[in-house]
Amino acid sequence: MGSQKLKIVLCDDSMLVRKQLLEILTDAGIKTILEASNGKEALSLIKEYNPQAIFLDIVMPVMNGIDTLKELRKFNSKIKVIMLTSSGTQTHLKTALEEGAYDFIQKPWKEMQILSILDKLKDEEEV
Amino acid sequence: MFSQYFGNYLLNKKAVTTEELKEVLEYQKSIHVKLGVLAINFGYMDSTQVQEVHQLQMKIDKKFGEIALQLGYLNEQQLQDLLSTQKLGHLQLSQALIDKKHFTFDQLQKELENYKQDCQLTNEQIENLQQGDIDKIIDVFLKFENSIHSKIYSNYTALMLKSIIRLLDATPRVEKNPSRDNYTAEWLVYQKIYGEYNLFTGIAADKETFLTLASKFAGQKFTVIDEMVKSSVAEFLSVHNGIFLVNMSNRNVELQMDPQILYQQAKIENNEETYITPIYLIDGKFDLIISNTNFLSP
Repeated sequence: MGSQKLKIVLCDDSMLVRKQLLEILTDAGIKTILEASNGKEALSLIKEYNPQAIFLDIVMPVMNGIDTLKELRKFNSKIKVIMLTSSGTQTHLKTALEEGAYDFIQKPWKEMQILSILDKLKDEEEV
Repeated sequence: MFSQYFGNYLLNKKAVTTEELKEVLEYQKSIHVKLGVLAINFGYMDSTQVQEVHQLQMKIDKKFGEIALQLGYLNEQQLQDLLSTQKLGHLQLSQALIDKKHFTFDQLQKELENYKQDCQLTNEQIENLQQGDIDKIIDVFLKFENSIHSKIYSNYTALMLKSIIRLLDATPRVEKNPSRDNYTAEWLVYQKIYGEYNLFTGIAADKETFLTLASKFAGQKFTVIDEMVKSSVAEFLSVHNGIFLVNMSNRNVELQMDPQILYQQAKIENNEETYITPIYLIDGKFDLIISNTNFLSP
Protein backbone atom coordinates (compact mmCIF):
# COMPACT_ATOMS: atom_id res chain seq x y z
CA MET A 1 0.00 0.00 0.00
CA GLY A 2 1.54 3.35 -0.98
CA SER A 3 1.39 6.50 1.06
CA GLN A 4 -1.60 7.68 -1.00
CA LYS A 5 -3.79 4.95 0.47
CA LEU A 6 -2.84 5.58 4.08
CA LYS A 7 -5.57 7.16 6.16
CA ILE A 8 -4.31 9.07 9.18
CA VAL A 9 -6.05 10.90 12.04
CA LEU A 10 -4.45 13.95 13.65
CA CYS A 11 -5.77 14.45 17.16
CA ASP A 12 -4.49 17.52 19.00
CA ASP A 13 -6.33 20.42 20.60
CA SER A 14 -3.71 22.78 19.15
CA MET A 15 -4.75 24.19 15.80
CA LEU A 16 -1.10 25.06 15.17
CA VAL A 17 0.09 21.47 15.66
CA ARG A 18 -2.65 20.10 13.42
CA LYS A 19 -1.78 22.62 10.71
CA GLN A 20 1.94 21.82 10.87
CA LEU A 21 1.33 18.05 10.81
CA LEU A 22 -1.20 18.41 7.99
CA GLU A 23 1.38 20.21 5.85
CA ILE A 24 4.03 17.54 6.47
CA LEU A 25 1.66 14.65 5.76
CA THR A 26 0.22 16.32 2.66
CA ASP A 27 3.70 16.97 1.30
CA ALA A 28 4.52 13.32 1.98
CA GLY A 29 1.65 12.29 -0.30
CA ILE A 30 -0.96 11.26 2.28
CA LYS A 31 -4.35 11.93 0.71
CA THR A 32 -6.72 11.14 3.57
CA ILE A 33 -5.98 13.13 6.71
CA LEU A 34 -8.69 13.53 9.31
CA GLU A 35 -8.57 16.12 12.08
CA ALA A 36 -9.86 15.93 15.64
CA SER A 37 -9.39 18.40 18.49
CA ASN A 38 -10.08 15.91 21.29
CA GLY A 39 -10.24 12.17 21.94
CA LYS A 40 -13.99 11.90 21.60
CA GLU A 41 -13.92 13.36 18.09
CA ALA A 42 -11.02 11.08 17.18
CA LEU A 43 -12.89 7.94 18.30
CA SER A 44 -15.85 8.88 16.08
CA LEU A 45 -13.56 9.40 13.09
CA ILE A 46 -11.82 6.08 13.70
CA LYS A 47 -15.13 4.20 13.85
CA GLU A 48 -16.32 5.85 10.65
CA TYR A 49 -13.17 5.79 8.50
CA ASN A 50 -11.06 2.94 9.95
CA PRO A 51 -7.68 4.70 9.47
CA GLN A 52 -4.33 2.88 9.77
CA ALA A 53 -2.73 5.38 12.16
CA ILE A 54 -3.37 8.24 14.53
CA PHE A 55 -1.11 10.95 15.93
CA LEU A 56 -2.53 11.43 19.42
CA ASP A 57 -1.87 14.24 21.90
CA ILE A 58 -2.34 13.53 25.62
CA VAL A 59 -3.34 16.80 27.32
CA MET A 60 -6.64 17.74 25.67
CA PRO A 61 -10.06 18.92 26.80
CA VAL A 62 -13.15 16.66 26.69
CA MET A 63 -11.19 13.38 26.48
CA ASN A 64 -7.43 13.14 27.02
CA GLY A 65 -5.10 10.99 24.95
CA ILE A 66 -4.57 8.24 27.52
CA ASP A 67 -8.32 7.69 28.01
CA THR A 68 -8.75 7.81 24.24
CA LEU A 69 -6.12 5.12 23.74
CA LYS A 70 -7.79 2.88 26.34
CA GLU A 71 -11.24 3.34 24.75
CA LEU A 72 -9.80 2.78 21.30
CA ARG A 73 -8.25 -0.55 22.26
CA LYS A 74 -11.69 -1.86 23.24
CA PHE A 75 -12.76 -1.97 19.60
CA ASN A 76 -9.64 -1.56 17.49
CA SER A 77 -6.35 -3.32 18.19
CA LYS A 78 -4.84 -2.73 14.76
CA ILE A 79 -4.56 1.03 14.44
CA LYS A 80 -1.04 2.37 14.98
CA VAL A 81 -1.12 4.98 17.72
CA ILE A 82 1.68 7.51 17.80
CA MET A 83 1.59 9.54 20.98
CA LEU A 84 2.74 13.08 20.19
CA THR A 85 2.71 15.02 23.40
CA SER A 86 4.38 17.58 25.60
CA SER A 87 3.53 15.46 28.63
CA GLY A 88 6.03 12.64 28.17
CA THR A 89 6.25 11.68 31.83
CA GLN A 90 7.27 8.21 32.99
CA THR A 91 3.66 7.48 33.95
CA HIS A 92 2.27 8.46 30.55
CA LEU A 93 5.04 6.66 28.69
CA LYS A 94 4.46 3.46 30.69
CA THR A 95 0.68 3.56 30.25
CA ALA A 96 0.95 4.30 26.54
CA LEU A 97 3.30 1.38 25.98
CA GLU A 98 1.13 -0.96 28.06
CA GLU A 99 -1.83 0.01 25.90
CA GLY A 100 0.14 -0.83 22.79
CA ALA A 101 1.17 2.60 21.51
CA TYR A 102 3.24 2.29 18.35
CA ASP A 103 5.57 5.21 19.12
CA PHE A 104 5.96 8.07 21.57
CA ILE A 105 7.24 11.49 20.56
CA GLN A 106 7.95 14.20 23.13
CA LYS A 107 7.19 17.75 21.97
CA PRO A 108 8.83 19.83 20.62
CA TRP A 109 8.97 17.51 17.64
CA LYS A 110 10.92 17.80 14.44
CA GLU A 111 9.66 17.16 10.91
CA MET A 112 12.28 14.44 10.53
CA GLN A 113 10.70 12.43 13.38
CA ILE A 114 7.29 12.52 11.68
CA LEU A 115 8.73 11.56 8.29
CA SER A 116 10.65 8.69 9.83
CA ILE A 117 7.44 7.28 11.35
CA LEU A 118 5.61 7.75 8.05
CA ASP A 119 8.30 5.70 6.30
CA LYS A 120 7.88 2.94 8.84
CA LEU A 121 4.10 3.00 8.46
CA LYS A 122 4.34 2.85 4.67
CA ASP A 123 6.80 -0.05 4.78
CA GLU A 124 4.66 -2.04 7.20
CA GLU A 125 1.47 -1.40 5.26
CA GLU A 126 3.15 -2.66 2.09
CA VAL A 127 4.22 -5.88 3.85
CA MET B 1 22.97 36.25 27.81
CA PHE B 2 25.44 38.81 29.17
CA SER B 3 24.87 40.81 26.00
CA GLN B 4 21.20 41.31 26.87
CA TYR B 5 22.00 42.70 30.31
CA PHE B 6 24.95 44.84 29.34
CA GLY B 7 23.15 45.96 26.17
CA ASN B 8 20.10 47.01 28.15
CA TYR B 9 22.31 48.93 30.57
CA LEU B 10 23.90 50.83 27.68
CA LEU B 11 20.45 51.54 26.27
CA ASN B 12 19.17 52.95 29.56
CA LYS B 13 22.26 55.14 29.81
CA LYS B 14 21.63 56.25 26.23
CA ALA B 15 25.15 55.09 25.34
CA VAL B 16 23.55 53.35 22.35
CA THR B 17 20.20 53.83 20.61
CA THR B 18 17.57 51.11 20.29
CA GLU B 19 18.32 50.78 16.61
CA GLU B 20 22.05 50.50 17.20
CA LEU B 21 21.53 47.83 19.86
CA LYS B 22 19.19 45.83 17.63
CA GLU B 23 21.70 46.02 14.80
CA VAL B 24 24.56 44.95 17.05
CA LEU B 25 22.61 42.06 18.59
CA GLU B 26 21.60 40.81 15.15
CA TYR B 27 25.20 41.05 13.99
CA GLN B 28 26.36 39.28 17.14
CA LYS B 29 23.88 36.46 16.51
CA SER B 30 25.41 35.89 13.10
CA ILE B 31 28.82 35.28 14.63
CA HIS B 32 27.62 32.92 17.41
CA VAL B 33 29.43 29.63 17.30
CA LYS B 34 27.69 26.50 18.53
CA LEU B 35 29.45 23.74 20.45
CA GLY B 36 28.73 21.16 17.74
CA VAL B 37 30.39 23.32 15.11
CA LEU B 38 33.36 23.93 17.39
CA ALA B 39 33.65 20.17 18.06
CA ILE B 40 33.84 19.50 14.31
CA ASN B 41 36.33 22.32 13.79
CA PHE B 42 38.54 20.96 16.56
CA GLY B 43 38.33 17.50 14.98
CA TYR B 44 36.94 16.04 18.19
CA MET B 45 33.68 14.80 16.68
CA ASP B 46 32.39 14.03 13.21
CA SER B 47 29.14 15.40 11.83
CA THR B 48 27.24 12.13 12.39
CA GLN B 49 28.11 12.19 16.08
CA VAL B 50 27.10 15.86 16.34
CA GLN B 51 23.76 15.13 14.67
CA GLU B 52 23.18 12.20 17.01
CA VAL B 53 23.74 14.44 20.03
CA HIS B 54 21.37 17.06 18.58
CA GLN B 55 18.74 14.37 18.09
CA LEU B 56 19.09 13.26 21.72
CA GLN B 57 18.82 16.88 22.86
CA MET B 58 15.34 16.92 21.33
CA LYS B 59 14.33 14.12 23.66
CA ILE B 60 16.19 14.89 26.86
CA ASP B 61 16.83 18.24 28.45
CA LYS B 62 20.59 18.00 28.69
CA LYS B 63 23.35 20.14 27.35
CA PHE B 64 25.31 19.17 24.26
CA GLY B 65 28.48 18.60 26.29
CA GLU B 66 26.81 16.37 28.86
CA ILE B 67 25.41 14.03 26.20
CA ALA B 68 28.65 13.96 24.23
CA LEU B 69 30.52 12.99 27.41
CA GLN B 70 28.02 10.23 28.20
CA LEU B 71 28.35 8.79 24.70
CA GLY B 72 32.13 8.93 24.95
CA TYR B 73 32.44 11.29 21.97
CA LEU B 74 34.27 13.86 24.07
CA ASN B 75 36.50 13.53 27.11
CA GLU B 76 36.53 16.07 29.94
CA GLN B 77 39.58 17.91 28.63
CA GLN B 78 38.17 18.21 25.12
CA LEU B 79 34.89 19.55 26.49
CA GLN B 80 36.74 22.12 28.55
CA ASP B 81 38.66 23.22 25.45
CA LEU B 82 35.42 23.73 23.54
CA LEU B 83 33.67 25.52 26.38
CA SER B 84 36.60 27.85 26.92
CA THR B 85 36.50 28.77 23.27
CA GLN B 86 32.74 29.16 23.28
CA LYS B 87 32.81 31.30 26.43
CA LEU B 88 34.49 33.94 24.37
CA GLY B 89 30.93 34.36 23.11
CA HIS B 90 30.36 36.85 25.92
CA LEU B 91 32.91 39.04 24.22
CA GLN B 92 30.87 39.04 21.05
CA LEU B 93 28.73 42.04 22.04
CA SER B 94 31.90 43.95 22.82
CA GLN B 95 33.40 42.82 19.54
CA ALA B 96 30.23 43.75 17.66
CA LEU B 97 30.14 47.22 19.28
CA ILE B 98 33.73 47.79 18.21
CA ASP B 99 33.20 46.28 14.74
CA LYS B 100 30.22 48.53 14.15
CA LYS B 101 32.24 51.49 15.40
CA HIS B 102 29.81 52.43 18.16
CA PHE B 103 32.58 52.31 20.79
CA THR B 104 36.33 52.63 20.99
CA PHE B 105 38.23 50.16 23.17
CA ASP B 106 38.59 52.81 25.90
CA GLN B 107 34.91 53.63 25.89
CA LEU B 108 34.02 49.96 26.07
CA GLN B 109 36.26 49.29 29.05
CA LYS B 110 34.85 52.31 30.89
CA GLU B 111 31.24 51.25 30.27
CA LEU B 112 31.92 47.73 31.51
CA GLU B 113 33.39 49.12 34.75
CA ASN B 114 30.39 51.45 35.15
CA TYR B 115 28.02 48.53 34.61
CA LYS B 116 29.58 46.51 37.42
CA GLN B 117 29.45 49.46 39.81
CA ASP B 118 25.99 50.79 38.90
CA CYS B 119 24.34 47.38 39.09
CA GLN B 120 26.23 46.50 42.29
CA LEU B 121 27.26 43.18 40.85
CA THR B 122 30.07 41.18 42.37
CA ASN B 123 32.82 39.78 40.18
CA GLU B 124 31.30 36.33 40.70
CA GLN B 125 27.90 37.53 39.52
CA ILE B 126 29.46 39.17 36.49
CA GLU B 127 31.24 35.90 35.76
CA ASN B 128 27.93 33.99 36.00
CA LEU B 129 26.37 36.43 33.57
CA GLN B 130 29.27 36.17 31.18
CA GLN B 131 29.18 32.41 31.27
CA GLY B 132 25.46 32.49 30.53
CA ASP B 133 24.73 30.09 33.39
CA ILE B 134 20.96 30.53 33.48
CA ASP B 135 20.41 28.84 36.84
CA LYS B 136 22.86 31.21 38.46
CA ILE B 137 21.48 34.23 36.60
CA ILE B 138 18.09 33.46 38.11
CA ASP B 139 19.65 33.52 41.57
CA VAL B 140 21.31 36.88 40.81
CA PHE B 141 18.14 38.62 39.74
CA LEU B 142 15.13 36.82 41.16
CA LYS B 143 14.10 36.28 44.73
CA PHE B 144 11.63 33.56 45.62
CA GLU B 145 12.89 33.16 49.17
CA ASN B 146 9.53 34.06 50.72
CA SER B 147 8.00 31.02 49.14
CA ILE B 148 8.00 27.49 50.47
CA HIS B 149 8.39 26.51 46.82
CA SER B 150 11.40 28.73 46.12
CA LYS B 151 13.49 25.94 44.58
CA ILE B 152 10.66 24.82 42.32
CA TYR B 153 9.99 28.40 41.19
CA SER B 154 13.68 28.99 40.46
CA ASN B 155 13.92 25.77 38.45
CA TYR B 156 10.72 26.55 36.58
CA THR B 157 11.83 30.08 35.70
CA ALA B 158 15.31 28.97 34.62
CA LEU B 159 13.69 26.35 32.40
CA MET B 160 11.42 29.02 30.90
CA LEU B 161 14.47 31.06 29.90
CA LYS B 162 15.96 27.94 28.29
CA SER B 163 12.65 27.26 26.51
CA ILE B 164 12.64 30.80 25.12
CA ILE B 165 16.14 30.31 23.73
CA ARG B 166 15.31 26.85 22.36
CA LEU B 167 11.73 27.26 21.14
CA LEU B 168 11.54 30.95 20.23
CA ASP B 169 15.15 31.41 19.14
CA ALA B 170 15.22 34.55 21.25
CA THR B 171 17.48 35.82 24.00
CA PRO B 172 15.57 36.62 27.18
CA ARG B 173 16.47 38.93 30.03
CA VAL B 174 14.82 38.87 33.44
CA GLU B 175 14.49 41.65 35.94
CA LYS B 176 13.88 41.57 39.65
CA ASN B 177 10.32 40.50 40.42
CA PRO B 178 8.55 43.77 41.12
CA SER B 179 5.98 44.02 43.86
CA ARG B 180 2.82 45.12 42.17
CA ASP B 181 -0.84 45.35 42.90
CA ASN B 182 -3.50 43.28 41.23
CA TYR B 183 -3.49 43.98 37.55
CA THR B 184 -5.30 43.12 34.35
CA ALA B 185 -3.50 41.13 31.67
CA GLU B 186 -4.53 42.07 28.15
CA TRP B 187 -3.93 38.48 27.02
CA LEU B 188 -3.24 35.49 29.24
CA VAL B 189 -2.53 31.83 28.62
CA TYR B 190 -3.06 29.84 31.78
CA GLN B 191 -2.24 26.25 32.67
CA LYS B 192 -2.54 24.32 35.91
CA ILE B 193 0.05 21.71 36.86
CA TYR B 194 -0.93 19.30 39.62
CA GLY B 195 0.17 16.12 41.37
CA GLU B 196 2.67 16.06 44.21
CA TYR B 197 2.17 19.84 44.34
CA ASN B 198 0.13 22.44 42.51
CA LEU B 199 1.67 24.99 40.21
CA PHE B 200 -0.48 27.56 38.44
CA THR B 201 1.34 29.02 35.46
CA GLY B 202 0.63 31.81 33.02
CA ILE B 203 2.03 33.97 30.29
CA ALA B 204 0.56 37.48 30.24
CA ALA B 205 1.28 39.95 27.48
CA ASP B 206 -0.05 42.92 25.59
CA LYS B 207 -1.31 42.45 22.05
CA GLU B 208 1.99 43.24 20.33
CA THR B 209 4.09 40.89 22.46
CA PHE B 210 1.42 38.20 22.19
CA LEU B 211 1.72 38.43 18.41
CA THR B 212 5.52 38.36 18.67
CA LEU B 213 5.46 35.20 20.82
CA ALA B 214 3.05 33.48 18.43
CA SER B 215 5.07 34.50 15.36
CA LYS B 216 8.33 33.27 16.84
CA PHE B 217 6.91 29.95 18.01
CA ALA B 218 4.95 29.19 14.84
CA GLY B 219 7.68 30.48 12.54
CA GLN B 220 5.34 32.72 10.60
CA LYS B 221 4.42 36.39 10.84
CA PHE B 222 1.08 37.20 12.46
CA THR B 223 -0.45 40.68 12.48
CA VAL B 224 -3.86 40.11 14.07
CA ILE B 225 -4.84 37.96 17.01
CA ASP B 226 -6.81 35.06 15.58
CA GLU B 227 -7.33 31.43 16.60
CA MET B 228 -3.95 30.40 15.20
CA VAL B 229 -2.18 33.05 17.28
CA LYS B 230 -3.98 31.95 20.44
CA SER B 231 -3.17 28.34 19.63
CA SER B 232 0.52 29.15 19.09
CA VAL B 233 1.09 30.91 22.41
CA ALA B 234 -0.95 28.26 24.23
CA GLU B 235 1.14 25.52 22.61
CA PHE B 236 4.36 27.29 23.58
CA LEU B 237 3.34 27.31 27.26
CA SER B 238 2.18 23.71 27.07
CA VAL B 239 5.40 22.48 25.43
CA HIS B 240 7.43 24.34 28.03
CA ASN B 241 5.34 22.95 30.89
CA GLY B 242 5.68 19.51 29.36
CA ILE B 243 9.47 19.76 29.45
CA PHE B 244 9.17 20.79 33.11
CA LEU B 245 6.97 17.75 33.81
CA VAL B 246 9.43 15.41 32.10
CA ASN B 247 12.34 16.89 34.07
CA MET B 248 10.40 16.38 37.30
CA SER B 249 9.37 12.88 36.23
CA ASN B 250 13.03 12.02 35.70
CA ARG B 251 13.51 12.99 39.37
CA ASN B 252 10.63 10.69 40.35
CA VAL B 253 8.19 13.57 40.90
CA GLU B 254 5.10 12.74 38.86
CA LEU B 255 3.00 15.72 37.80
CA GLN B 256 0.20 16.23 35.31
CA MET B 257 -1.32 19.25 33.66
CA ASP B 258 -4.72 20.45 32.53
CA PRO B 259 -5.31 21.82 29.04
CA GLN B 260 -4.36 25.49 28.69
CA ILE B 261 -7.02 28.19 28.91
CA LEU B 262 -6.84 31.52 27.12
CA TYR B 263 -8.21 34.73 28.60
CA GLN B 264 -8.54 38.28 27.40
CA GLN B 265 -8.54 41.08 30.01
CA ALA B 266 -7.78 38.63 32.84
CA LYS B 267 -7.59 40.01 36.36
CA ILE B 268 -4.51 38.73 38.19
CA GLU B 269 -4.60 38.52 41.96
CA ASN B 270 -1.14 39.21 43.27
CA ASN B 271 -0.93 37.51 46.65
CA GLU B 272 2.17 36.49 48.60
CA GLU B 273 2.56 33.20 46.78
CA THR B 274 2.14 34.64 43.29
CA TYR B 275 5.31 35.67 41.50
CA ILE B 276 5.16 37.84 38.42
CA THR B 277 8.46 37.97 36.59
CA PRO B 278 8.90 40.35 33.67
CA ILE B 279 10.80 38.68 30.85
CA TYR B 280 12.24 40.93 28.18
CA LEU B 281 12.90 39.91 24.61
CA ILE B 282 14.56 42.22 22.14
CA ASP B 283 11.14 43.07 20.72
CA GLY B 284 8.71 42.87 23.61
CA LYS B 285 8.07 41.99 27.24
CA PHE B 286 5.79 39.44 28.83
CA ASP B 287 5.05 38.44 32.40
CA LEU B 288 5.66 34.91 33.60
CA ILE B 289 3.22 34.21 36.42
CA ILE B 290 3.71 31.30 38.81
CA SER B 291 1.84 30.52 41.98
CA ASN B 292 0.76 27.65 44.19
CA THR B 293 -2.76 29.06 44.23
CA ASN B 294 -5.13 30.10 41.48
CA PHE B 295 -4.06 33.67 40.68
CA LEU B 296 -7.12 34.54 38.58
CA SER B 297 -9.58 36.91 40.20
CA PRO B 298 -13.17 35.74 39.91
